[in-house]
Amino acid sequence: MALLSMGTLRRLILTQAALALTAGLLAPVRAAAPEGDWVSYRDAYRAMVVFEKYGKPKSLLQHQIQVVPRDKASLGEGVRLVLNGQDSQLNLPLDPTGRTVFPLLKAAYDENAALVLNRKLGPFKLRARVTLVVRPDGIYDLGELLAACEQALEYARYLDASYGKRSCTGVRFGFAHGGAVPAPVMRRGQPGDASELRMGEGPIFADDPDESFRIVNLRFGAQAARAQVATQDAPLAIVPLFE
Amino acid sequence: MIRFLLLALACLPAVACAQTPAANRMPDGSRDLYIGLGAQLAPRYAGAEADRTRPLPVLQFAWSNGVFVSGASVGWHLSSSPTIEFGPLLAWHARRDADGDGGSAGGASPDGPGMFVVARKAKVPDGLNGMDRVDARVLGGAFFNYYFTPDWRLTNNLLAGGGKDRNGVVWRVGVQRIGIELGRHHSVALSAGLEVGNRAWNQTWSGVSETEAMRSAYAPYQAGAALRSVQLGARWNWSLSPSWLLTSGVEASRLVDVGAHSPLTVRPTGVKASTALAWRF
Repeated sequence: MALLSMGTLRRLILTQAALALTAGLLAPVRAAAPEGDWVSYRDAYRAMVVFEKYGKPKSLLQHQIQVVPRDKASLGEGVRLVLNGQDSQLNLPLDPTGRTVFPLLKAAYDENAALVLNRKLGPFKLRARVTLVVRPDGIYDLGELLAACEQALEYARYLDASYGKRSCTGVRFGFAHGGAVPAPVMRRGQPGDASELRMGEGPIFADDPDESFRIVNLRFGAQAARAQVATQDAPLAIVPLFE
Repeated sequence: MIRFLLLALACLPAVACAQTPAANRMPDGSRDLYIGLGAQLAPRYAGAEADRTRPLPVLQFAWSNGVFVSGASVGWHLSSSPTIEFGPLLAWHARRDADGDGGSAGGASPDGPGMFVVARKAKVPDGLNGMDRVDARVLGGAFFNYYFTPDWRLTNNLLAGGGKDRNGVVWRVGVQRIGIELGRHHSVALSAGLEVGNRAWNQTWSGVSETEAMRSAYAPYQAGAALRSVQLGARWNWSLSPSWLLTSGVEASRLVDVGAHSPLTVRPTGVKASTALAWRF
């Protein structure tokens, strides 16, 4: 004890007291957290409202929020994102990629609501995703795909200055995993000049943990300007590719 | 894409900081408020030999019109671009007397709450006996931040009106890496920065006038316009729930040039550490 000055001893005691107080404070705070993992609605709103306020052309794009499990597990079927308000709940069904349209609600923001999953699936995070609008007739002009990709690139540049030197190189059609999904057909403008596009397996989004989707990468450079892509089954998502 | 709450900066001891949180997009008429309490260990003034522990209230308010209060600064986001932030800034600068700095203000984050340190006056004089008292000041100026990517930003604050004669000007520039996720609800931000003052600013905080030299044990020292200090910092945020945040930070600050040469500087490198629990509402 002689080695410790009174000041040091007092500081140690104060530190111990502060730690004990902090531990006491944190216990009820942690207990008040939602069951299972959660994400602050305010934080999600902050990221998602940017697209809403974006003033440049975006008519060929759609903007959704994606639930991404942190442990790279698959979400499985029937999982929903649930907006837990003080007096109400809003269920947001997820598509097979884990995406849903994000509701921009002032009431949920003001009450500092939480976003949770309807099942305990472990920790997850949310990502904003910009994809191309899926056409109901399944026919995509190459020029329109390029225009949509350019809109997505312009938005990416708006968010991130490091996208300034990138360019649109193509799009990726993503389909449900498993089963026999008919491959999209490329029509090159001449009667009878059509062929199936090569379909593989992989993630729809570059950093997606689920790599079991059926995907088709379409490069703009090798295609005729008047070409069309025809899909029999609606893709889950059409993702712009930048390089 | 979702960037969770982060505190990125702590501040130079003895200097009121004017940090700017990232533009907080929210519904019209809404606000995002943090308030809390913790503790901070910091040098009694920049270059002081002794440290002291002080209570650390946390304060950050942001409104949908772009106005924010972050620690001891008030500002207004005027840009709607996600990659550029700028606007006017006011910052409160604590007084200095023989007891040291009366208080300082903590940083605001790119994405999170700032801190406001209300210092309790130390009872034991240390180092500043005989030095002129410098009254508290409200500094006025502007901020400009540029995002190289959503996770890297350059920060700039230029503030005038400080020092003994209200003619001190200080420019603080920094680089921040934000959004480093360390698992579920834990995130870290790193920062590096420097402070450049004009002659009046540096003379106030690092200089010793002839009169002060007569009263104190220090030799006279004229501090010119120069780089005064550099800082490295890290901040760790733990979101306990949507409404509660535990925020902790550490910052090493080194006085250089006029700051290091000043007779007031006993220990050019100071470390500041803080932790606080904040309620978001």
